[in-house]
Order: sequence, then C-alpha cells, then structure tokens
Amino acid sequence: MGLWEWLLTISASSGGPGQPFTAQWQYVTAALVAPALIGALWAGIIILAERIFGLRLGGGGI
Amino acid sequence: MNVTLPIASYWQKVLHPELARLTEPLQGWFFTIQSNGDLAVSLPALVLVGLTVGLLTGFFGVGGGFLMTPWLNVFFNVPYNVAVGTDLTQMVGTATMANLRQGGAGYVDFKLGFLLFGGSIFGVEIGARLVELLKAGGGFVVGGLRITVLQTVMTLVYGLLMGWIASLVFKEARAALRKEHQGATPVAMAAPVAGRLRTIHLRPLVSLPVSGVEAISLWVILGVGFFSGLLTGLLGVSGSFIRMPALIYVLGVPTVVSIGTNLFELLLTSLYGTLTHSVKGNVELVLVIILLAAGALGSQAGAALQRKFAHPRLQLAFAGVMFFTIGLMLLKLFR
Repeated sequence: MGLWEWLLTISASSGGPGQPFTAQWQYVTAALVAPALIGALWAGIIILAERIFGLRLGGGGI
Repeated sequence: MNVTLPIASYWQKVLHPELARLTEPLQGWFFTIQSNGDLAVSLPALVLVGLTVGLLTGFFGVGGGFLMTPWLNVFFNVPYNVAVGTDLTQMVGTATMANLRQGGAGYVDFKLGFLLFGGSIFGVEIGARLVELLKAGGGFVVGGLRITVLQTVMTLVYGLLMGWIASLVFKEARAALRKEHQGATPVAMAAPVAGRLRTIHLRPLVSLPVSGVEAISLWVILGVGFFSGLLTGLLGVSGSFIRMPALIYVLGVPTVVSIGTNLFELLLTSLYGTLTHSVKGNVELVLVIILLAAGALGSQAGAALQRKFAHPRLQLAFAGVMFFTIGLMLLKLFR
C-alpha cells in the first residue's frame, strides 16, 4: 500500500455509516507527527544549504 | 491531475447532503464534486496556492494562515472546519521549522512560554468547540439557496478580522509612502490598551527574569494566551499578530526574547490545536503534506525577494489581495 492509499485509509471514520466521525488513532498520530517531520526536514535542508553555500535563507518565521 | 480529499468529502456530505445525490459531477474553479459527493481538487492549483501563500508569508512576514483558510474554502470548496484544522496542522510544521532555525539564537523565555500556553490551551479548545457548534448548526435557505451556519459565521468573522488587518497594512504602507515622498515622519500609533493592561496588578504576580520583567499579573499573561489561542482554535491562524505586540507592549518583553518565545509557544499551541482538531476529524492530511512542502519552498522565495524588492507599494498590493479575498468570500457565500 502506498503512502497516498494509507493516508486515505487512516482518514476514514472508524464509526459506522450514519454515526458521528470517530478518528482512528493512526490518523491523529499522523496529524501530529507528519508536519513536525516535514518541518524538521526542511529546517535541516535549509541549515545544510546555508553552511555549504554560505547563504542566509528564510524560514525562521511563521 | 486531481486529488480526492477524504475528510473534506466526508464533511461536505454531512453539511450538504444534497451534494451526495448529484446526477452529474459539479465543476468548480479548481475542484470537482463527484456524483457521490466526493471532493476532488486540482493538484497543480493546490501547489500553486501553497507556493503563493508561502511566498507572501516569506515576503511580508505575516498572512499565511489568514489567506490559506479562506482560499482553501473559496478556491477548493474545502469546508471551513477542515480548512481551519488543516491550516493549524500545517502550522506544526512551520513552527517546528522556525524553532529549529531560531534555535541557535536561544532567546526563549520558557517560563513565559509555558504560562502563555496555560491560557492558550483553553482558548484553542473553546475555539475548536465553537467550530463544532457551527458544524452542528446545520443550514438555512435564502432565496432557494442553502447556506450553512458554519459558512456564514466563518465568512463574517474572517471577513471582519481580515478587513481590520488589511486596513492596518494599508495605513502603514500609505504612511511609509508619504514619508518617502514628503520626508514626513509618520505619527506613531499610541497603544492605550497596552498601557492600561500593564497597570493591572491582580494577584498572583509573577516575575520573568529571562525577559527582565520584575512583576506582572498572571492573569494578564493567561489572558493574552487565551485570546490568541481562541483565534488559533477557531480560525486556524497563528495569533502572532496579537501575541507579538502583547508580549512587547503589554508584558514589556524585549523584542528579541518575544520572537523566540512566540515561536516556542506557537509550537505548543499548534500541537494542541492539531490534537483536538484531528480528534474531531477536521484535519486533511493529504492537504497538509502538499501545502507544507509547497509553502516552505514559497517562503524561501518570498524571503529572498523581500531582500531585493521590499517597497511600501507592494504592501499596498498585499492589502489589496486581502480585500479581494474578502470579496471572494462574500461571493462564495451567495452562490
């Protein structure tokens, strides 16, 4: 199963049809971890690029 | 190339049951509603929006959350609850990146950050529950058109807040332009509310040695955290436009410490906001990944362009973009 299919699977409600939305624990965990990982990866790339090329890049604000 | 959004599709069918019984797919600007009510959005348009919002944030330093949430709704038909939850979740990524980037500077008042978070946590939760209330509010029919309570209230709140910010940006840009042309000094805006809040000495009082603050009422700190957290939970925005001036003018925190502390507190707030919104099913993971990747790239380009082309006229254009967005939001409400 690819990442995309996995995201679709965990995003589905675990409650039955007509029931209120019930989040799967994998969905909640992925929501907390995935953006933090992407953010950390970007920060790593930026810091590395700054050290290698001697640049001052952005990415320190919101 | 289109991407199906499972969470947005789910809530679209809940909020608009009539869309699950279409005879043929419904085409929007950058989205398609399938006959079964599923929402598919254009991937290139999504990447473009991510890049643009990142670029504007990198260039002007603010505005990401403010534009992203309404744009997701206006251009891609993503229900507001999902747009808010998704934007907030994306903020975990930008806050992580910003904290790691600023980490070297090390100017964070952790005590103040945790105290602010003490107020934010309640604000975020109340904001998220307000979104739930609006979701459950259903809809009403005006002139044969079904409008949801969620769409109406969010358009109104977002429109008012964005209008206020746009007018501030507009005034600042105009003052800078006047200064440039006439050599006049713009009149500094007084902060009477900040001054009054500073004089509140309601106990308990706390000291913030890292920030050089001898004594400040705990309630003022919690209040600042609560109010900015409320905006985060309800609208998916960082609330930095409230927190940063409050830290500097109300609490008297040095600017360099307030930047690091604001980012630290934002990371905690966005993590809690993501937790509560994801439990409520308001986070579209597919969107988070695409927008975060594109937004980070756009913000680099924005920061690079800002160093070369910063000019008050561009600030005027930014205010124009915000006013234009308000117009689109109103248009969306009635069509």
